[in-house]
Amino acid sequence: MYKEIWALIKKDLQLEWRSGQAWSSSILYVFTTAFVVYITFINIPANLWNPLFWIIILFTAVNSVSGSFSSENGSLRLYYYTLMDPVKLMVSKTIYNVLVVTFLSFLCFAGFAFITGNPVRHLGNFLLVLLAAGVGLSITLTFTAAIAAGVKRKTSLLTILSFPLLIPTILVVLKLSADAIGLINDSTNNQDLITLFALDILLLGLGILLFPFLWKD
Amino acid sequence: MNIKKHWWKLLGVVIVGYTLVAGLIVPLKPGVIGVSHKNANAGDSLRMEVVGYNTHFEKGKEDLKLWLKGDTTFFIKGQDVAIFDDNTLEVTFVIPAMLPFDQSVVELSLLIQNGIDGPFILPSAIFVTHSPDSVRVHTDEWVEKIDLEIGSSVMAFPFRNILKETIRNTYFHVPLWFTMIFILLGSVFNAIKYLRTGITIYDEKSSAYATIGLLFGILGLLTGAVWAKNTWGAYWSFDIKQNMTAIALLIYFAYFVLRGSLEESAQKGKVSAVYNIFAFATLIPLLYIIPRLTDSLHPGSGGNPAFGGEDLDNTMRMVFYPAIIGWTLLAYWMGNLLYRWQTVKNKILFQ
Repeated sequence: MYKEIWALIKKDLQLEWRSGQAWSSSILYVFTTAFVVYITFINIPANLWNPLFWIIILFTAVNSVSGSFSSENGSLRLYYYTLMDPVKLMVSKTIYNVLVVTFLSFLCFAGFAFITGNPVRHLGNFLLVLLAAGVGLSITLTFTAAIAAGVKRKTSLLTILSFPLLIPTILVVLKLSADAIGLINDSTNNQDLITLFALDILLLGLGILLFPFLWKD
Repeated sequence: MNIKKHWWKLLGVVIVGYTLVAGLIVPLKPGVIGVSHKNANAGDSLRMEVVGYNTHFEKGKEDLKLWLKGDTTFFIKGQDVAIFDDNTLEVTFVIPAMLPFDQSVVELSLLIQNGIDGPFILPSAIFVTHSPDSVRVHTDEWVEKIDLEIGSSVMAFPFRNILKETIRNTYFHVPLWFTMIFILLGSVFNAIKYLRTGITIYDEKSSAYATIGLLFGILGLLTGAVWAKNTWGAYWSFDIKQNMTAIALLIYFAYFVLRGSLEESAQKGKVSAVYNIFAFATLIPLLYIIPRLTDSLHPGSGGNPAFGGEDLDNTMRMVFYPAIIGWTLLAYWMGNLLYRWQTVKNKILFQ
């Protein structure tokens, strides 16, 4: 089971690595957005830095996940369908997207902090929040990308479908990162983290449960 | 037509009719809208105008009594009551120079009682400033034996400051939300059935119920907005529940966009059923878990159940619970009508 999932993740990574185009476009997307935000705001106070940063992350995540099911279309999809278990495919896609989104958000943090200055006080906590956010965003986005896969004008539909679903995650993450930056002093951090992970597990479970129905048509 | 099969529709109409009539006609209990003074100093002799609501000052003037109440043992009796009409009177309170409290500002409630209205209270009617460093003697001087009588037992809804007549919205705003959740639950139930069986009927039912659920959600939002304007001062006040509700409605709008953008019927049914289940599962934390983690203007934030004993008394329960049942029955009926209308439309289209 793990072998198959790992093989699928490796396949995706290799495909991306060989084409190179997707990586470079995602990375460029992050830096361009960060720079445009910097150009428009110039001086960014910490209480503005926090939401701006997460909006960039949100769009980066949507942008990078939106294509995750587009390679499996037509005859290739049929080939996969005869070959493997949809649950494994779903899990592998989710893990792959977690890797990509987390990598991009670390990169985004580095880039944004480089240009605008780094307001983060508790770096360890902030990186933990980045990781948790990467997991949360990827789970929901992977599932909605699977839903939107068969539709024309996929990206706009993905935005409509996923943004409302992502708001609980974003709200909790915003609060946690505000605490890491030192804007607020919150003692209920653990409770928020538990809420976030409970939400993630709920969404992941539903995704795994429901994906087979999407897959076989 | 077999009437025995349709009894619940009649029941729904009767119950909603009952809640409309009872919810709007039953009067409020007597209460105090306002007093002319908000602050006083210890030692003042205070001539105060009291404006009541649904009160019977004139009719019940023989045994009308007024007190300023500190705690359970501290009462100041009102003197020289001058009654203008059933809702306005003037009364004098002689506030003693020494009050048996530690705080420098003492919060006193106004307690009024007569034979017709029974006892009623205006909490925190007046704030009295005194110097607590003087010797505090808790003497019997302050203790007034008061025995509260039960007022005439007419059916009436409680009077609450700020809420006043808008308390009736409890029978519309809250049941509409309950109905939305129930009908969306029906929609999810049908979506699951569709995924298991693949029979088109369930998909069509699921979509019809989701439409009705969205309609009730919008109605709940609008009744809430009107209520918020009257009590909190604005239609929208960045309250966590309002925001989460807006998001929940966005999720269901997205559901219809998704349905619209898929053409093939089997794929449409499958994909939208999957999204429906996913959406409902995120709706629960949006509406019921996240709002409780933060402050909200709504009752029930901070982990409390939405309805404590304070918010809903027995008279209100007699209207509130039937309202939930009645609206749910009506919504179910509406959903079925919509489903049947769509089926007929599709039949004609594909002939």
